[in-house]
Amino acid sequence: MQYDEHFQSLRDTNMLMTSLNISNFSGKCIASILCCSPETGSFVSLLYKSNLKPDRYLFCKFDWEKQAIFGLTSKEFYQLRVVLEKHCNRFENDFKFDCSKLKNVSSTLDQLENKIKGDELLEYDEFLLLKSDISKNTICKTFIRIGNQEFDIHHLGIVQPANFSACSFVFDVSLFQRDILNKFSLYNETMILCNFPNHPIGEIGIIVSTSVFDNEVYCMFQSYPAEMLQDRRITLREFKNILFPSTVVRYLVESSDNGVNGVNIQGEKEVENTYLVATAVKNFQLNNLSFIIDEIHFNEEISISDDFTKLLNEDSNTNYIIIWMYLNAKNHVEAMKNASDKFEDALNVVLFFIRSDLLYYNYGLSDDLQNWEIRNHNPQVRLINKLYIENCFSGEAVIEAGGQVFEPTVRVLSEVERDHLLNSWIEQGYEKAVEANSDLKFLLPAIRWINMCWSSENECDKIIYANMALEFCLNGERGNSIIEDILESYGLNKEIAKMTSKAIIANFTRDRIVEIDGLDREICIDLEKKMNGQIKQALTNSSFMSNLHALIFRLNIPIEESELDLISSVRKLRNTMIHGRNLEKMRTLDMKKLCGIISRIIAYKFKDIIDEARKL
Amino acid sequence: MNIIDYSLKLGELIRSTPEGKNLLEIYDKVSKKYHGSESSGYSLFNQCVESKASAYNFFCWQISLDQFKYAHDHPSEETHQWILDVATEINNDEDITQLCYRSKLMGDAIALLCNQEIVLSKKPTLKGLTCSNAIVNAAQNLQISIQRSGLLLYVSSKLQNKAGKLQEEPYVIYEKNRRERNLLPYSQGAIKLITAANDLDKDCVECLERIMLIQHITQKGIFEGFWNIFNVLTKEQVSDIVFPDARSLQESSFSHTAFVNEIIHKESWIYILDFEEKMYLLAGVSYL
Repeated sequence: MQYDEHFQSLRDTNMLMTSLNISNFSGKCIASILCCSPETGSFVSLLYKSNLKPDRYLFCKFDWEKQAIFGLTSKEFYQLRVVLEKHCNRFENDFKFDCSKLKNVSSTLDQLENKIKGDELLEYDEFLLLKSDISKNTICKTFIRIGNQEFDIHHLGIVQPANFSACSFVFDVSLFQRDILNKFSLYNETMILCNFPNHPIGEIGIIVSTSVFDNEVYCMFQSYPAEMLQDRRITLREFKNILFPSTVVRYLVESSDNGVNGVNIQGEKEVENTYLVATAVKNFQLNNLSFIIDEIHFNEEISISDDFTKLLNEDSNTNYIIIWMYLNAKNHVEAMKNASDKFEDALNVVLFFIRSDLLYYNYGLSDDLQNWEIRNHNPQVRLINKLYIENCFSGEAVIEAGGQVFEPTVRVLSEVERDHLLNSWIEQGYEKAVEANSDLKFLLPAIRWINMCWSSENECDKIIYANMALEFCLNGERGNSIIEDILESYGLNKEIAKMTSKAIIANFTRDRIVEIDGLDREICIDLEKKMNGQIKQALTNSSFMSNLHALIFRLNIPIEESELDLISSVRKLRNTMIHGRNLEKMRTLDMKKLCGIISRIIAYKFKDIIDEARKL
Repeated sequence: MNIIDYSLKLGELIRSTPEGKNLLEIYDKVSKKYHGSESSGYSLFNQCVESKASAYNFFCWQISLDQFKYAHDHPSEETHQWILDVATEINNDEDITQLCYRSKLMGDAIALLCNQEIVLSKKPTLKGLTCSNAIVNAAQNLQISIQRSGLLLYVSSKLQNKAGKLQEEPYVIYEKNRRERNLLPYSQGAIKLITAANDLDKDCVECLERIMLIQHITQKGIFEGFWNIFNVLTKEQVSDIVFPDARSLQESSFSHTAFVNEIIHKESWIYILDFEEKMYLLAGVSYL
């Protein structure tokens, strides 16, 4: 998504003011905090942690325009305290102090109010406060934009730790806004913007977790790449003979399919090199034989890192062979991706021929019969999810083990979630769905396919599963016929388009007495009838997207235009795939968004059927 | 598998090409023809060939023939009569001239592969040989084993901004001179040449020597693989070995009791010492 607004991130403040040395305190900036409220106006505050033990924390205010540090008033500190109290327990890794103690600081500060004039450093236990009695904050327009929708907020607190981990924010919501919020897909990109005069401050990313209180919403917020990197176990990856640190950074970022289109490292030229990529096929033995298919070497001898062979031997199953290939690529990730596809294709071809009885009769091309056993179907021959990628020129190598393992690995259900699940319509829905001849019987397969889509690791499978889920969900839905779609595109209204289309179809399929030389009249009439039937069916068919629009319109499902575009694009991918034209993939985030959208459609339909049943 | 292993394997595979088969065929024919005739002109010619095999690989026949021919066409007072007799005999034997011609063709193809194609990033084409995919793959394996040895990385990091220098006249002359001497890389003779080149950039000269070492090893490996004349010695067969640091290029000496596997009595061999950790030795007395 493109944004017209130009703004700086809160991160820029702590980058500007990394360390602070004043009398009695020297420390590093560990977080910047943005507070917006009608009482104090909007201001940015910085939190410093002392370099020396015991830990001490200093609070002050940052003036962006003057790029200097100032004192906080007691009202501002109160505001800051309220924000921090809500965030503190979320940032255990970033700063550890007891937020409840800040209350004491506030009350002491209140007592001192009016007694202190000018900027002064005050100390309470481990907290230091640069205090001022003057404040010139202004109230800035502040809003949040999720997808295409935007709404103003009055109270906002953003905490951005200096170590670049997730930032978090709390904002207030009125009842009206709550209603809007319910309709947001959390996978959409979110932007927060606070319009400070001359230097707007904002953040863009996706919401990775939320908690909702009475009239406040708390969100953890990250740029998507950060989420992908942070939650992936990178200990399962080993780098060897690394000459340039950029190799590691590039690999980590680009291998996670996080929407970053390449890492650009200043001064670095993209050069194509030869890469060696190796993996293993398990449950496969060639004894001392070897062969090459195109460029893929099966069981051919090759020197690779001992660590990789050790890793392969870690599995108790030692029935594997190593397969490898050389290929030209610009970096390790490109080599890995291209090689993985080729390995899969080559192994599929090998399995295709060896699994069935094709080799027995030599494809019917000669009389040589081979031995064959039906038990040859049993071994689960497959690629091991471990790769060795070496740049042959520089020797830099990556050992990739175990593929994508994401944290957390266990889904813990909260009490609130449990209560939501016990919602009567879900339970009733399930009961109804398992009944024979139920209206909901198509929704269970839809749910099954979408769940498979969430959990599948194969990108092409995901596309097929998502489409299957939608197909089942759209069962029984009927949108415009193709002719109606065309007529509406000419500006005709729905009713007229419907009537006109009926007339057109009747005209196209009316009986004409056709006579064909050499055929009996009865046969000609029968032929005409059948052809008219085919034409009528083709003309009255409604398209997939039209059925989807009808369903969305009928149930008033909140779907944004961009979300419909995503469905339409996955539909196109599916068409090219199943008609054997191409195997294309989708970005992981788009796939997650798509699963979210389809789940929403299924849930709305699920609930609607139950609601209808209740009415009866 | 390292560069020597891959070169030996490629040499073995080249036997199966039509060009390889032709060469083996004519060699067998000539050997059988002169078998048992120790005093024939061919036997004397063959001694000359053997003395040149280590230095000139596939070219040893052609070079020997040329030398005899030269002596025949430009006789001096010192030229023995037997040389003229041998020259006449071999020149009139079409099989021997064919052997020289076919081995030269093979030598040209291998030299093109080892001196040019193998250091490029494109898959080798092995011009001059009719190759199956297996042979092209073996040549690619050899090419990439050279990359993986770190040679190109070493050269590119050592020469960073000086790569162009190698095309400058003094370096071209030095390289020509160095190649003509046909010295075993890093042998005493070669080191003398390097030290004598005082006015040249030491890094450039050193890189050149290193490249030549690899080219030498690959050509020799292919040659010995083709004729199947490399020697693998076990621990029991080897004594008096001065153990070098096997991980780097060093001088060493040893005695062995094995029956040396050779068709040609040449002066340099590839020895593979099959100990706990494999060691590769190039013996080369005459190069010193």
